[in-house]
Amino acid sequence: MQRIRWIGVLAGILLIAVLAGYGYSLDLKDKEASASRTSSEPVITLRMTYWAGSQLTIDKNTAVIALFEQAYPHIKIEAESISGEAYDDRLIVMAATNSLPDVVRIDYSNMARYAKKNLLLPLDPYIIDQTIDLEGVHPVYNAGAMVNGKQYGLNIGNNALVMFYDKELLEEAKVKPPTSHYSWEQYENDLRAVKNQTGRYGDTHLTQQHFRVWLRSNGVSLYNEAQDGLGYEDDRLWIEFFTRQLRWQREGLLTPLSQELETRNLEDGPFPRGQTAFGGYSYWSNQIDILEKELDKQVGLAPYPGAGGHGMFIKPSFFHSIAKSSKHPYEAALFINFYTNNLDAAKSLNAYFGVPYNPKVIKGLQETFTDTQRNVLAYLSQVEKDGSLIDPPDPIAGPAINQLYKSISNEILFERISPEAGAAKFRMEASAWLEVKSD
Amino acid sequence: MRWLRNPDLYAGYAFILPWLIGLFVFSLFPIFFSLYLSFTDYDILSSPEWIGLGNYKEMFTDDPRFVKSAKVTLLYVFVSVPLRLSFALGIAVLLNMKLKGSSILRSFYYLPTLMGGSVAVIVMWGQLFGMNGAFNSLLKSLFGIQVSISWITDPSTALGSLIALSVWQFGSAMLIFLAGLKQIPASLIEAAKVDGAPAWQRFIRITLPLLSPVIFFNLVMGIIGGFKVFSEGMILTGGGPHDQTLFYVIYLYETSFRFLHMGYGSAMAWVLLLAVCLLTALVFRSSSLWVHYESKGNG
Repeated sequence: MQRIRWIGVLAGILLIAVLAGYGYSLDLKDKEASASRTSSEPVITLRMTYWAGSQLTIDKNTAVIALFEQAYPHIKIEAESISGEAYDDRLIVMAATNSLPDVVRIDYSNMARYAKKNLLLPLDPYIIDQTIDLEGVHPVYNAGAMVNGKQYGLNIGNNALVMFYDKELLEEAKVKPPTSHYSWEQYENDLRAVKNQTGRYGDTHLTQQHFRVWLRSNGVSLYNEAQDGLGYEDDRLWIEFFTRQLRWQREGLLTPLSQELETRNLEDGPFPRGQTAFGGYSYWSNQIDILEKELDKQVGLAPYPGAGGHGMFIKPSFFHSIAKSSKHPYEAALFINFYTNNLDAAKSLNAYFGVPYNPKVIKGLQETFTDTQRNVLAYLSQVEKDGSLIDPPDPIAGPAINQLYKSISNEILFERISPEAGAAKFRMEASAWLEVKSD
Repeated sequence: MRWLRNPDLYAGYAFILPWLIGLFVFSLFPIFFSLYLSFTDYDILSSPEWIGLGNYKEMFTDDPRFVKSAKVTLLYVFVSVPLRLSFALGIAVLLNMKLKGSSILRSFYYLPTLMGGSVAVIVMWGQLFGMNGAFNSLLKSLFGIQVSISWITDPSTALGSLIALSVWQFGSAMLIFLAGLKQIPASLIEAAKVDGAPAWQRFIRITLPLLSPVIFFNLVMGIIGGFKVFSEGMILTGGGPHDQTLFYVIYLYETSFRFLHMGYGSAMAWVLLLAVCLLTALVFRSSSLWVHYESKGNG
């Protein structure tokens, strides 16, 4: 009996050892496979994460990586895409577990927070030795990633919020295309004309982006300077904003809200399906490629109605940063420089992640730009002229306030509470978040 | 210290070693770490800061969304669990009758459960009951009713459509009921038949009491699963519109990972655990009143 039991113990240990050995040999096989590719130089693998709201985004990113790997055969990029709001969740978990990828694509709103928490590497040494080439670039384009006097990220390209419009539908409705300083009254008339002449919807409902632009055009902002309270005193701004929408909604000028809530990705939604003449939503100018592909025609670009002289602004589409934990910061710097400043990369991207701002790249792109890119470029320079500087990044409570806005907006537009009650509720609950929970 | 020399002990532990490591590293440690976190203010990126019972206090006195999420979840559990169980029982009774092709039907009814939890099915559900979904066009072609709401995103129907999704996944409860029904001695039913008891009386007086241990089991599992509901709401509604489907666990996730209040989220997780324990204990307590164990009755 005794012996049999010892055999049992040995068998157990043996089983574990065999399994572990097998796992290890699988691991080895992996390493051998990658090592055999280039025998002379050791291959360095960099990880990167990026946000992708559509397949086109993934394809575009993959194409640039292929170009980079061609130019630098000893560097391999493993890219992971995450869609929707989950992107921020994933980044924060990676940050907490010290497993941020070498190259992090990071939004303006999170930039300062990550830099202050000491998670990112300052790029200044690489800018000084020109690994990252910022010669002749206006500092304003990278100002959003400047924290405590150090540069923590490189802007991929410039963007602006935009209201797209379907040129053919507007023509059919005998509506003149919107220009800068487009007024609410004109917009309302145009929505009605579209409805009456074509039987289609005018637009989707307004979003939080519209509200923020509307606040800006009134000389205030969503958050106050200290970011411990709301930045606007007068609730009439909120009430007017929602009363308008309720009026249009009752007239049937806007798509039904519950249909809009079904939208899952950028290819989806009433505008790319040709159901509305205007595409407000919260589109950014670089998303024009996706929409033109879906609609199979050129669309126009216009600033938001009621944006006035200060409402619109230029925003970096995303920044590329290097994680402090990266073991290959120099190679990562090569990559992020390639992404923004290499002419082949820029040609392949064709302003997909925003319009390039490096004068050398813009010059090189002149011949290859399509009409679409020229239109975007023209629109952005108009915004630069008419608009004002972007608001500071959101406070820590930002995501909670966004959720609160969405919830109360739906409550009003489903006509469960009045705009007045909604204004008071938003002010009360948002103030509570900002006072207690910001640091 | 003789037990130390007992090879039985080593053999046993050697065999369960991988599992033990898993238990300690991946279950027990995180569980107790979250208990610690629930007494702290922790934003994931900075180190946790001890605040005692602050999170728990805030939850019950100063957080309307917490109350809302608790209400939504309770409503979901109290409506969906009884509905799903009665549906499962009804189908199980039908399948238990010796009809032609009942084994094919059995697999057929189990299909939704096989696919049940998967994201693809949830997305499909969203399309069936969307604004331009199959359900609305069915209503139009069959009854000529033009419905222009999205059952998933309209505030009055959103929770209902999620409950319907849960009822539709009745398969596993049905299989367990079916197994229970097969256990009921045919002699008892036959005896009642001879005595002239009509079908409904045989069902209520004989089948149900003999099935009560199985109902009890399904009820407990259903309640526990109901409180943990997450992916359906997360994928279909995201807790919206205006928090009408804000399930407890969705709010927990939002608080922890989106608003970065990991301490508060941990406290919510512990409150959920206690609530589920309490309710399960209540059901167990009540079981002496309605659950009938055959062996005891005979013994």
